Amino acid sequence: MEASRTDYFSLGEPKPDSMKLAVERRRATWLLIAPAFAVLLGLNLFPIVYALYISCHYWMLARPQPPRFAGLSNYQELFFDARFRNSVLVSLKFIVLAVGIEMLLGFGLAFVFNTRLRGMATLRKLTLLPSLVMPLVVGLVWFYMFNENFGIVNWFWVMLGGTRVPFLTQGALALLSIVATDVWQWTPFVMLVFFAALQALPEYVYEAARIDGLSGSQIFFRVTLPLLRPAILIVLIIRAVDALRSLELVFMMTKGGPAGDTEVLPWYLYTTGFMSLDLGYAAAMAVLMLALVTILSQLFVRQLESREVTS
Amino acid sequence: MTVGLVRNKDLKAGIRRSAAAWPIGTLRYLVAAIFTGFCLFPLYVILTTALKTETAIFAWPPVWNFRPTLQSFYNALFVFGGRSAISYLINSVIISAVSTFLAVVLGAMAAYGFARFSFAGKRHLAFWILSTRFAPPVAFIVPIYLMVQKAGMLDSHIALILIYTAMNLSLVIWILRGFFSEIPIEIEEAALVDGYSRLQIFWRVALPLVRPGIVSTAILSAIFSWNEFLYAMVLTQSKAATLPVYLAGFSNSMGLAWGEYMAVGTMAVLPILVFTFALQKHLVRGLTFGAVK
Amino acid sequence: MLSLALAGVTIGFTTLNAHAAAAAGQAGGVLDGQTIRILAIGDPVFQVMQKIHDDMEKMAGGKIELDVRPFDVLHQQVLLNAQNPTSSYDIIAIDLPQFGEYKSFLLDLNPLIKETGFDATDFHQAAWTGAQVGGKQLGIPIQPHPEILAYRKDLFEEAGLQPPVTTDDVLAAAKKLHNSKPGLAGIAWNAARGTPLGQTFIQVMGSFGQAPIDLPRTDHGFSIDNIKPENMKPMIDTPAGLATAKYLKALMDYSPPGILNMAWDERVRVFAQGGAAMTYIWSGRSAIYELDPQAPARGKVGYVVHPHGPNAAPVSPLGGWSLGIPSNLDKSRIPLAWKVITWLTSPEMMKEYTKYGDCVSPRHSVSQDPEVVMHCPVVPVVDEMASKGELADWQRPPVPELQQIVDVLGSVMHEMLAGKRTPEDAVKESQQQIDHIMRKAGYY
Repeated sequence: MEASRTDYFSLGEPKPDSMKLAVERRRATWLLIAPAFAVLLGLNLFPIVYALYISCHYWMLARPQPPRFAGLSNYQELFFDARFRNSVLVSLKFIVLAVGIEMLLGFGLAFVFNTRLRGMATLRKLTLLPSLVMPLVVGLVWFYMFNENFGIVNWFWVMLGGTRVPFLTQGALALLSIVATDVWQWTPFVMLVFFAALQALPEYVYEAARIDGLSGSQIFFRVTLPLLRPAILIVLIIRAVDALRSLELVFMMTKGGPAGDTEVLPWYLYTTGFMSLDLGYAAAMAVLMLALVTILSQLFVRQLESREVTS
Repeated sequence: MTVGLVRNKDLKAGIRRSAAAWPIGTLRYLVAAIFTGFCLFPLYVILTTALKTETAIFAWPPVWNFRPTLQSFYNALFVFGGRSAISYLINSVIISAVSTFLAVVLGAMAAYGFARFSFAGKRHLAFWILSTRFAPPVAFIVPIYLMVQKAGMLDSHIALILIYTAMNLSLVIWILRGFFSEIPIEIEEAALVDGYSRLQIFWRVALPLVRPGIVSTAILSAIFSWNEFLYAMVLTQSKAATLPVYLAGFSNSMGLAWGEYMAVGTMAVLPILVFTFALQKHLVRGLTFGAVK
Repeated sequence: MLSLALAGVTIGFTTLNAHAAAAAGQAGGVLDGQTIRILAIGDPVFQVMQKIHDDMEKMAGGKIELDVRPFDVLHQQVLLNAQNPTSSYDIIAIDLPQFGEYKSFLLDLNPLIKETGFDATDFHQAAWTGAQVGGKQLGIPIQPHPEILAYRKDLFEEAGLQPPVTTDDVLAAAKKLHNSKPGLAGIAWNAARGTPLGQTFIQVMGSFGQAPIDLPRTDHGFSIDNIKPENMKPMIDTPAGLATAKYLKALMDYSPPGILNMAWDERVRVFAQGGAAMTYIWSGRSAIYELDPQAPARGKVGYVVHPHGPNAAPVSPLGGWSLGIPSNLDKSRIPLAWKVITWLTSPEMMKEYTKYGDCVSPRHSVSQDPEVVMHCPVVPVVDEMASKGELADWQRPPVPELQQIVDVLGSVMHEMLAGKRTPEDAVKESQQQIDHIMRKAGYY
């Protein structure tokens, strides 16, 4: 958004009116932006500050005792909290597995769909549906399908020669099941982004490459991949943050079990704050999570910014 | 495998990649069909389970041919032990609609402001607004719950409406900013010369020209509001409870009312599917915040 | 598109109203055309209410909005509802040990009891006082029942075993019967992580003669009347606590597959289908097999009080649900809420519940009714335990931190059962964590 192009105020306005127009312009800017800014100030910036405040207290909801100032003791306790460390680890495992698989699958599938063959466009449009379905319903149906006693996944597994598996109640399998569900839901989104990026690739670069006699794989690695780098980073960050904050699947399918194997950070935060009602401790976790998300969103913003410069 | 682009004109110009093009085409269809089937299958399960009888739902091996019944839908909507799903449905509609409206109105205004005017700190403000897209509800719910409680607005429609508006603003602003900046400046300059005020130009000239952007951001905002569950679950109980709250009350260890919940799940999912099929064109731009067009 | 949506919404609205009007059409009855909003748990009595919901609406002449939730969600919703400016519910279900936690959000029902002359004498003493805190009556029992031990009389007779009286008897019987027939486990119980296992622990520890916190002792057990801050010290790291941990660990050898995920419903189902020779059971759930003609266990079950450890008295923990009124309920709705509570806990309704799957009766009159005894053999047994004073509630003292105590035990002990900790280690670790919670809360 180059300032000079949009600042048409300076493009040959009749001078005698310039003062009036300047005032009007300032007023208009203010009127247009203020409402949205106010909403975000109140519901985004203020809660962050308030969360910091809460995190410095011993604050139990629904107790007769009023909240008590506690300095940084909540953070100190978090540092020694094995369950917190576990939740961060589980979240990390989840993000790396789920997002990793989504990126690879989505990337590959984008090439598959990148064609004018008849009917492919319709198929492609159909594949987006999982990404738009209410995550809670996604959890519900996969909970049904993974069920030990009447689930369809078990039926397939038995058909392939296995025995009935308790997908959601057995240690490492539980997390893998959640990962699989997330992959089902979000691979289409990743694929769509890569597909659009592929479609937007400039034709002339390829013609030049072909004229230069580059082979197929050379074109892929030296031309396509670098051109797709911005899209890759953007979708990676979006998926990483969304996977970090997602709660619905664990909520519907495993509730953090068995024995904390699927207790991701959002789930530990949620049970601490709204089951045990220990708001002070939950706020401390929230602040840490916000710090992490801020770092990631800064990366995103920086990536977007560099794109603007080139486009 | 051909990498890069396969454009129609290549084929038309008679540049055949190789004699191996045909098997590749079949392979593409195969992979695409398998993937599409995999994507659609669970949706099929939701619908069929909602139409199955209780014995069919628990049957092993799973039943593929069954006699459909509307009993589950009927139970969920009119019977089911006292609290029907209808009030949840209505709340979802109201809250999604109003919050979408607000997000689009406030967002369009701000987007125009960003597109057309410059002021100190604009870049920082714009990127801060963008970053609000990543706000994790589970972290924000702690302070927001207390804020809403102290304001006496628990279990009210207005609380959720405002929160969802805030949730969707960054999307609307960011996308519409792009649309507004694509409007040729001459049109607005002409209107300025004709004596229109800036706000009038926004309302009468610019806004109508970004209608496609408005439609797609409205639909996306509506979808996000409709699907949102954490804020709804913690901040409402009965009066303003939305569909996700109903669904979140599901528990395997009591009642096992799969049919009814799948029926409600169908109702929760169907409108989205219908809308987005219509909206494909601007979806990518919307979902990636204009990073990819 | 928009008009279609609007049409749909209108149709929805009209149907909803028509349904409400139909129910309200009957004049008279407890509700007299009004709507009552109840927040409850998925326990037998409320499941029965869901089953006979339409008949109940006809009897009451109004709409009954019954929200049934799982235990943890109910707990959360009750506490969050208490923060609302006005309550979203007229009546809420309260678990006996939760009265301590909820005491500041519940209405004292004594004025209403006096005003309407509600007769409390028909109720089991322990159940009635269990719903009191500090002299205030905070709930009316609707499904209070003890956790007891159910055993297959036929299998025991076959093996020449006597009904278990001590924990050693249980282990011996379980060992003998485990796998004596295909698919038969010795004993089923709540070992699922979290609330199920946590409650199991403190209830069994009660049968080893120790309350979870340092309560003052009485001749029959412990007193929960006046709990002071110094009484809040955890007593897990004690001989009784260690004995409990070892006992539970020993039970693992004679338990059915999937025991680590087993909770209230599943343990009874397994027992009902003949998958276990014994089970700990909340007496009301016996309806699952007593009323099911297909259940292998039906009619063959004997009941005894919680088997006790050495040097401990036989005592079964009393639990179950009562109905209360939130203190932030709109004043104008209180009379209606009270009328409905009176109706739901009346002898007539209690007898109805026993017909449809709730084998509980806190009312002596209903417990003696021969029709009830016929389908629910456990009812007179419980009645006798009540009269003998074998039912107590100090195993789960009504303190606000009870749920946190249960949470800690539910996860640390689960690790022990899964083999990740020794009993000694589990007992010490739980003690430490609970002690930390009490210190943080400022008790000592």
